[in-house]
Amino acid sequence: MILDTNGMKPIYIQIAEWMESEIMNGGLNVDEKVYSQYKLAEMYNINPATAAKGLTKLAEEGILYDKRGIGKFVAEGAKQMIIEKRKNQTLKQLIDDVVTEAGYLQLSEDEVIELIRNSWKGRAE
Amino acid sequence: MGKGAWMMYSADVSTAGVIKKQISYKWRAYISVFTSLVVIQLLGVLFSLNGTGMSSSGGRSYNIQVEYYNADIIMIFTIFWGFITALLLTTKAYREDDFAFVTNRMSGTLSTILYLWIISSIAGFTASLSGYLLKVVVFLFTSQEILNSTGAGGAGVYLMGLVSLILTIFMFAGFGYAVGMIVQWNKMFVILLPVLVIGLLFSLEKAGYSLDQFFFQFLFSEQSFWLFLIKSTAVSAAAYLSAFLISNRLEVKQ
Amino acid sequence: MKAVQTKELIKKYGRRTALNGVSFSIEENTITGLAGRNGAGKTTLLKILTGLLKESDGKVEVYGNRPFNNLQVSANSIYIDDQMNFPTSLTLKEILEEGRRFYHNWDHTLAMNLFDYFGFHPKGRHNELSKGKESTFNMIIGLASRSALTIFDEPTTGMDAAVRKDFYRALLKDYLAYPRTILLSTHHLEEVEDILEDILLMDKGNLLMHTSMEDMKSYAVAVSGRKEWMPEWMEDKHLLYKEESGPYEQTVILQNNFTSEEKEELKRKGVQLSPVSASDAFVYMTGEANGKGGVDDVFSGRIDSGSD
Repeated sequence: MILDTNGMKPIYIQIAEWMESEIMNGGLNVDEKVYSQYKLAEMYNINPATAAKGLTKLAEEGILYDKRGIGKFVAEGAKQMIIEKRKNQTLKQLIDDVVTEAGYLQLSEDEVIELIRNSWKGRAE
Repeated sequence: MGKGAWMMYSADVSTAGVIKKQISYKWRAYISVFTSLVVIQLLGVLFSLNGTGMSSSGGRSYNIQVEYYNADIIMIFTIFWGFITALLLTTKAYREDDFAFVTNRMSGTLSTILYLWIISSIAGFTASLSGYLLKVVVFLFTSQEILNSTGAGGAGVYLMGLVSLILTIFMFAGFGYAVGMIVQWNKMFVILLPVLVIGLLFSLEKAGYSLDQFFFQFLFSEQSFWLFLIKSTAVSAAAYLSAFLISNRLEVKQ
Repeated sequence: MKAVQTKELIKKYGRRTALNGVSFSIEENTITGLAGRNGAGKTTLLKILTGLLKESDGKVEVYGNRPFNNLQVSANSIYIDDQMNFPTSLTLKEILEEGRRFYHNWDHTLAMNLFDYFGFHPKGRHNELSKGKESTFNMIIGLASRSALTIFDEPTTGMDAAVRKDFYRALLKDYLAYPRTILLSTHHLEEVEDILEDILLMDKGNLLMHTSMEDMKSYAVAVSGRKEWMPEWMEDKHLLYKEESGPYEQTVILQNNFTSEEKEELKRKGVQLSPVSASDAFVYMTGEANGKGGVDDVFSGRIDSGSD
């Protein structure tokens, strides 16, 4: 992953999202120890406090758990939590944007659903 | 990684330890002062070869010519060197070298004073040696009979002479150090100081005193070694103390 | 323990006030950036912290000690800038060896490895180095000293982009291995912002801001669109900079404290919101342009008079 340091998205969020994708694609498994803030800082050339903030965010959401003095580990059911979160937050936001844009263009609900269906088909092929 | 236990801060810093490090640092950093010492003492030897006095007497069939050679010029040159060297150490470039590493004013000034004492001792010692060098040179190149006239000789007298010389060099280094600090403190004194000194001398002359009485006689015509030791030490202490007090008014780096 | 603490710190040079009552504190083992334009008082502040200058008034403490003329502070801190003087009689290698004698945390292996990496000659002289090389050498001393309080004042003067990148990387790596309190003043904020934890922002002898780098990055936002799209409530926002692009379009830089309803409204109206980098935000906050049209204003009359 290359950090987008000029984007609207804070770096610690990017770090958290990167770890989420690692969990999603099987790079990190349940009860496996994740990178420390220092390792992350070195990997991405960022301040360790920023990396720690990303880890803390995931721990607060229950995706990671803390073993005092040892580090943070992937929690049971982390994948499911990430899927739920992305569905309820990221995906919902994207769909809201689609609906808003469709409103500008004065499209009907059916037309939008049709577009989504086409996209879905295109992906399946 | 992330050594939480790593303690970067150390509360265990001794002034004496830092002064010791500073002296050895200055010894290496200011090594060029010895080049100028060698040059000035060789120059002294050269000037001394002229002889400082001559007397001749003759009879019908013989003619005696006595030439006096002494090492006064070497000593005067060395004392002057002490003054100038100390003066130079107060200039901005040298003071910034002082503060290149760990220091505060007290350790900086104290280490410089001790450093000046060390180089004054070396200069005094080599000056006394160049007195011997002078004798050798005179013997080799003038083919004259050498009559030693040091008077009552002996190691004790030599030692007293050496200590007096070192004390004198150290005292003049103190003058140089104090004058330098005054000038660093306020550049006005480059002009003001000579005016003050000459003015003082002039008014003393006018009042019927001479410089001799006020200064040189006070110190140098002292016949007792111990009294000289006490007097010169007191004068040196006054010079170095005033330099230290002035340096305390200077900001470390500007 | 706080590494640095100041309260109403004032420094005057004669009549000129360089620091005008600066109060802040820095936690131990953090990397803090110090940004500000020339003459903002950065160097004065940093020199006071390392005891090289005496404060005129107020309180300043480094690890609980007043730094001026303090041997304890001198032994535990180092100040690196582009005007360092070393004895001309010493070679570069000898200077590093002096550093080893004086600083109790000094890592000579690190010093020599960096020395070789950057291609210095052991017999080279400090006063014969180019500006960039001199800065690089000074940086090596600053890193190798591993001082509890390490201060870099514009350390990258004259360095080329590749060396600057190496320096930031080396600084971060050594900090990760040996955490210490680092203060870094720079004109290249965009280059170092990712390795900073906090930032101090100074302007004209005052401390404008002391915040986390993360907050600084989202401090300002650029709002652009047609003038008639801009809602009235925008007047109440703190304006940092305003730029007219053409007769209808307008971009304003505002403090980023919009509510989500406000953001929605802007979006609906077609107004664009885009991020402002920390270094740009800092330029808008401290520039002559602050709240005005910038250097363009100086030239604005000229075109009119030219067309007369």
